[in-house]
Amino acid sequence: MKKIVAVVALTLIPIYAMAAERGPIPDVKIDVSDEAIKRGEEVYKKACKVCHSMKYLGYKASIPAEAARKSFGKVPPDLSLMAKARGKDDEGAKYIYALLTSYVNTPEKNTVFPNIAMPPPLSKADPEFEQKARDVAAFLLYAAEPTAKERERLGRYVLAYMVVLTALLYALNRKVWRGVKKKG
Amino acid sequence: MALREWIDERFPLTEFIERHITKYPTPKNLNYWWNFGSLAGAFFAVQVITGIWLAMYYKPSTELAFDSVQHIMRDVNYGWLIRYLHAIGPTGFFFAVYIHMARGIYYGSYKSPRELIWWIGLAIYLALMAEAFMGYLLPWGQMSFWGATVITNLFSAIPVIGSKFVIWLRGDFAVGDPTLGRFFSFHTTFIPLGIIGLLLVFHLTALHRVGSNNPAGIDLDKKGPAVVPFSPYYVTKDLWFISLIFTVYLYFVFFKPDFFLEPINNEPANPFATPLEIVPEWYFLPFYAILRSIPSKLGGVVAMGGAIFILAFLPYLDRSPVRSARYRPIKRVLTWLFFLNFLVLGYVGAHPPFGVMVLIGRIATFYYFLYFLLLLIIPAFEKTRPLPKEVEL
Repeated sequence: MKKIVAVVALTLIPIYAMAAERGPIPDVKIDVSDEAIKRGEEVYKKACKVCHSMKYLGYKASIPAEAARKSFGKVPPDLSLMAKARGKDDEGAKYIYALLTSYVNTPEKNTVFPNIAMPPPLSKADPEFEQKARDVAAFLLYAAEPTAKERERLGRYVLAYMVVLTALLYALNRKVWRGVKKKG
Repeated sequence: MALREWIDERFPLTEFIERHITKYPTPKNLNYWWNFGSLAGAFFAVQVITGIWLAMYYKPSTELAFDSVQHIMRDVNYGWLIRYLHAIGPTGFFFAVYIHMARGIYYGSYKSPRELIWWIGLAIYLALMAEAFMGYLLPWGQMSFWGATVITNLFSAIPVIGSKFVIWLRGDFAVGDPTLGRFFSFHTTFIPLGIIGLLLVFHLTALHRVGSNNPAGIDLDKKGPAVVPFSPYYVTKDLWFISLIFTVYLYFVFFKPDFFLEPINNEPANPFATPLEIVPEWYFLPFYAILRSIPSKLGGVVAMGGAIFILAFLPYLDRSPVRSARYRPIKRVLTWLFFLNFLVLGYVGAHPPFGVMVLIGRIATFYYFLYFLLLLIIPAFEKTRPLPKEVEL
């Protein structure tokens, strides 16, 4: 009994912690055009790459992990898959955009991710602040699955083929069964 | 044909094809609930083929596993396609298997003379659960690691030897490199080919000995007008239906691959950080709900195991001479409730066990087991409807 309570508590307390931890995510449209992704990559190089690597794209963090740990208390995570690790489809990108734009001047620092270790990477004074947050979110979404566009392009042909194939097989089956007596 | 004759003198090729395909007598009144066995077989074929290709590029070590999956996703030609097919395939596989089993329960396909087909099928289902569970560790993401940790930990509930047994299972004090290595080995060789593949052959051999059950649940003359040869009638019927379901499957593979995948598994396994929520894949949720509904660890594990093993006793619990629930008004209602109840358990399993969820989970767990008890007693007073003399299409 004690054990089960412990197991249940261990698995559940964090859910409430999470509910408390994450603020509301605004429903923002992430532009995933090639230009947006390219701009986002530049934002990453200027604002994020200092601390965050993207190993599957060949980017190393500019400062050593140990130095970052000393400054911020933890090693900044690799960002290659971050957009896919924080939500399905483009939810993760929206979360990243929300996080980047939700820094506040209160002790909790960020309304989306309270008590975040990361200082604000983008300046609110920058006139392109919102644009940059959106672009870097688009870039991270792209980076998490660079083959996504190819997947959707190929998928259209595959689905069209499958619909025709299914219709033909259905017609064939109808024809095969036509002569079978109803009773027996 | 000279070649065919040459082979037939040395190997019963023509005999085999006639016996199992072109002349195999199949009831002509099978409805679409009978399509899910071949559908499951098709999904099994996809898993085997894509698995062979994944195993060429995957590296079963804690250092390399996660990176090798990303290598497949990014660098291997069409690696993303092979991996998504393999990762989403189990959803289709379990979907087909659950409906296939439900059909067997509803139409009494477990009754004599098909008990052995039913038992072999249950063994396949058990092996499938082990196969899916072990495969889920291989990407070495956060949910892979913590799912395997939680599930292997269940065995610590075994009295006396529990904790030693868990170490023996894992090959280490925690889920680690030896665990990954053995799961990879079992997942790619012994379980799919040595157990599932072999049992599938047995499943079909036993089926072809006694023939398919049918929606009327009556014995049919295998030479009479109630049967048609498997080919072409059920070849085309199975093919078009597989094509239909695969269209849906491929829609998810190409357009919504994230739908059935856990985002947190895109983070590499970290033994020092527990994910916020550990939830099994959807096909384990009903049993997960039963596990959590019993307020004792050992009791929960026993109930979860019992929920599966009790299915093996169906041929003896249900003593009614009538197979099909169509002609059994009480079993029919109880069985639909049982299916609905199973979905409720799945829903409960997906939610944190708090407040009303706990109560619903316990009631659903109670009904799950009550169903089998009711099956045992209802033949005493259930008025069955008269069985048809012949079948209708």
